[in-house]
Amino acid sequence: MSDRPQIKDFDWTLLAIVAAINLLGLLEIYSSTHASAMSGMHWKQLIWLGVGVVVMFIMSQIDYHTLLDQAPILYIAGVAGLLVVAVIGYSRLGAKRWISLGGGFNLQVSELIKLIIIIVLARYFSEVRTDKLTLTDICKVSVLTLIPVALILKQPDLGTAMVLVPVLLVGMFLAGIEWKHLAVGWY
Amino acid sequence: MGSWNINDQRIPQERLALVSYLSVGLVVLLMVGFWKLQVVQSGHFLDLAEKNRVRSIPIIAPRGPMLDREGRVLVDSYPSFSILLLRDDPKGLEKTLPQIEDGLGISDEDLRQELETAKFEPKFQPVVIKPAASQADIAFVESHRADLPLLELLMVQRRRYQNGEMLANTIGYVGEVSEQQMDDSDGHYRPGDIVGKAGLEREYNDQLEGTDGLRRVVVNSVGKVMRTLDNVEAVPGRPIQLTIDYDLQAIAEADMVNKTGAVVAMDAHTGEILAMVSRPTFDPNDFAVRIPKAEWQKLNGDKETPLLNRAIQAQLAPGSVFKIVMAAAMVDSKAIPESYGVFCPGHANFYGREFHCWRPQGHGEVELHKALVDSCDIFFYNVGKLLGIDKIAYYGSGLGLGKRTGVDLPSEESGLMPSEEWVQRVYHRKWYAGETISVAVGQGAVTVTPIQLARMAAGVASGGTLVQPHLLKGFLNAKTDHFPLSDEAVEQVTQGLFGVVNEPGGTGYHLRLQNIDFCGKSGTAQLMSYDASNRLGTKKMDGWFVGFAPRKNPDIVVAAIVQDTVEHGGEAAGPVVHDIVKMFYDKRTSKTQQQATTAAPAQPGSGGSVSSSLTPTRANAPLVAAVGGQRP
Repeated sequence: MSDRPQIKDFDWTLLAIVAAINLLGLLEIYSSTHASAMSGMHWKQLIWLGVGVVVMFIMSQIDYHTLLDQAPILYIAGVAGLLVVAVIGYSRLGAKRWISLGGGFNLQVSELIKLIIIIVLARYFSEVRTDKLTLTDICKVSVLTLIPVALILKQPDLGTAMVLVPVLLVGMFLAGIEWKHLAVGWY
Repeated sequence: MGSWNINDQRIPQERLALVSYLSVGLVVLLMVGFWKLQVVQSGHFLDLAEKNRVRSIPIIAPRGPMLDREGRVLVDSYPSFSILLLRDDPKGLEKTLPQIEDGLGISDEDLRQELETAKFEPKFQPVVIKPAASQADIAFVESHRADLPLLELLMVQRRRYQNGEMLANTIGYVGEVSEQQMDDSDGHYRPGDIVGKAGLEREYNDQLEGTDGLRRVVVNSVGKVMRTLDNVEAVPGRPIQLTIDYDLQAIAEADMVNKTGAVVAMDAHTGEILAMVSRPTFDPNDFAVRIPKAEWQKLNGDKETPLLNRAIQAQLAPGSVFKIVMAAAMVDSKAIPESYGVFCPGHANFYGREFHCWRPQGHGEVELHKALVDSCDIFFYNVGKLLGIDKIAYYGSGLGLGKRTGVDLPSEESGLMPSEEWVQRVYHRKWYAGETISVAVGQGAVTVTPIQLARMAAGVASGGTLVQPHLLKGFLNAKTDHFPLSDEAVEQVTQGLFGVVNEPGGTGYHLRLQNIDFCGKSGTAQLMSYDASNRLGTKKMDGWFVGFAPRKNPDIVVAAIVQDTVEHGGEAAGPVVHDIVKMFYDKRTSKTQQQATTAAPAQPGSGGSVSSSLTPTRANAPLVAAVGGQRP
């Protein structure tokens, strides 16, 4: 494990930008919930940020190729999770998005799907050996993405569903989609 | 990192650059927007937030008044002030609490309790800390505008029940909307809204309730109103006119003071309720402001049940009043010849059990007419035995006993008309023939409400036309049930009931009225078994009297019950019915006289305009004073 990244290898600039964005978010939450029924929510945000930093550090110690290897399993688990939400998930504010984990914790599967789709697409595109994406490739990745999109739209959660579309587009773009295909998709 | 990046090299660099620039562009766009809001225009927004706070002040709509049939006000609303505490500045709130508690005389505990209850409401919604502010309270708020900007006065409309306890159980009361009602109303109600909780206030809540208005004002940092943004006026609730006659109601109330029981007086043609009394009762004004917890518990826990409207909710044995049904069944069914007679020695044996007549020495030879006039139990035991329970139940139910009358009040009770089918369904056993004997004189399983008895008596005297009782003048779609009785049956029964009041020896002879065909039937229901009352030496009874006039197709019918009395129905409840019927005809006479004197000289041929409004006659005045009523 000699190639495990060391502290000095961290991308400090990127980390600083992430920290700045999070700080802004924290201030916004404090300011908009101040003197309301939701006051004190910024503490909750801070705690989860701390959890996030710990998870980030753990993840940095894992070779991401291991993750890519797990892509099919992750994908199947994610879609299965969405199906479970559709069946036994509970509704709040008119949308069925959560699975209750007990103890007051609720899992929103569609949040995990965002990450899973990125991993799945990365895996797929990394296996394309040419510089160009064929039409078959485009159809395959589109179907892979649109299945969770459809399930999330049914919840309904347009916002989360729409986040997956740019992920697909940017992925295809970088993987070498041809301009003419992109133009066809546009229309 | 080296070995991981083999595939990454495949990414066309120009495309990667394009995506990077696009991302940076988007973030810059967001940052610019953020900068503009938070830095460039911050002064402007701060100004808006601090100097010009917008306050929404609800304008409470008054509930509609309730009028009697002649337009006299029974219930109305009056404006008063509530003191609100604004909660949008928690720090300022905490600092000023002691001063507020001191100035308004509210305990620290109570005030904190109020704030605790409202904790999860949005902060911009103020809490009511004093629902009925006194002059001193108002002055305190006005004079501390500068140092206590968190206090606000709100004009509200309160319910005023002009006559206190009069008609209270029928009118009902109002109160703060419950959480259940709020959930069911689909956002129509907000916390603290006042709605009808019982009686007519609840039944006709939709008409009575107005639509609250809203005034949005801009206030400065010390709470002073700078200008009004908009003003949506409140729409007052609509008035409802009742069929109640204030004069009849007043005399009925006066007769029932300090008694337990109920009275229902009804226009026998239309079903319009003229008077409705339930005793003991309560003062609905106690509910108009927030009712103190102790007072509510006292009313609710009282074993005399003052909140119960006995006129429609008390399910009681009808006693001998039930003999009206028995007599009608006997003649109409032709199961027994009209000439049928028995000898009453004061007691008789049925199915091996001794049954008593109310008159221990007996009535001698008795046929139907005498049996009604003297209320002979032995005669009707025999009639009951010959008819059987199902025939009795057929006539009882047909005449509306054991069924809701459909009066326009919430929570009417149904009572019970037992039958073989009922005993099978509920108790899974056969009906015992001996039970029929008790039912024949209105004891045993049969129970009725006072309003059912009034409707039944009017129905029999009208040949089987059963009107739907109602309290709203102009009640639409009043349903009339028809249970046709033969002319012979109607004639025989009403002659008997006329005899009760107008023949010497009748149980209501002391109640007769000059020039009025006043008929009726007394009833006395035992609350204890014959043996038990003999053993204890006391007799607690329910005394009924149901009367109507005239004999055929009556104008008015009155049912009265006085409970827990030692007197028989004719003595206990009879005078109440007597007084109401007398007042009804006195008013009618004075009305025609007035019309004769006013209309006749001017337009002799017009036949008199009916619309001339009747002012209460002088003779009524003392009666009104007697119930402590405040004349509207």
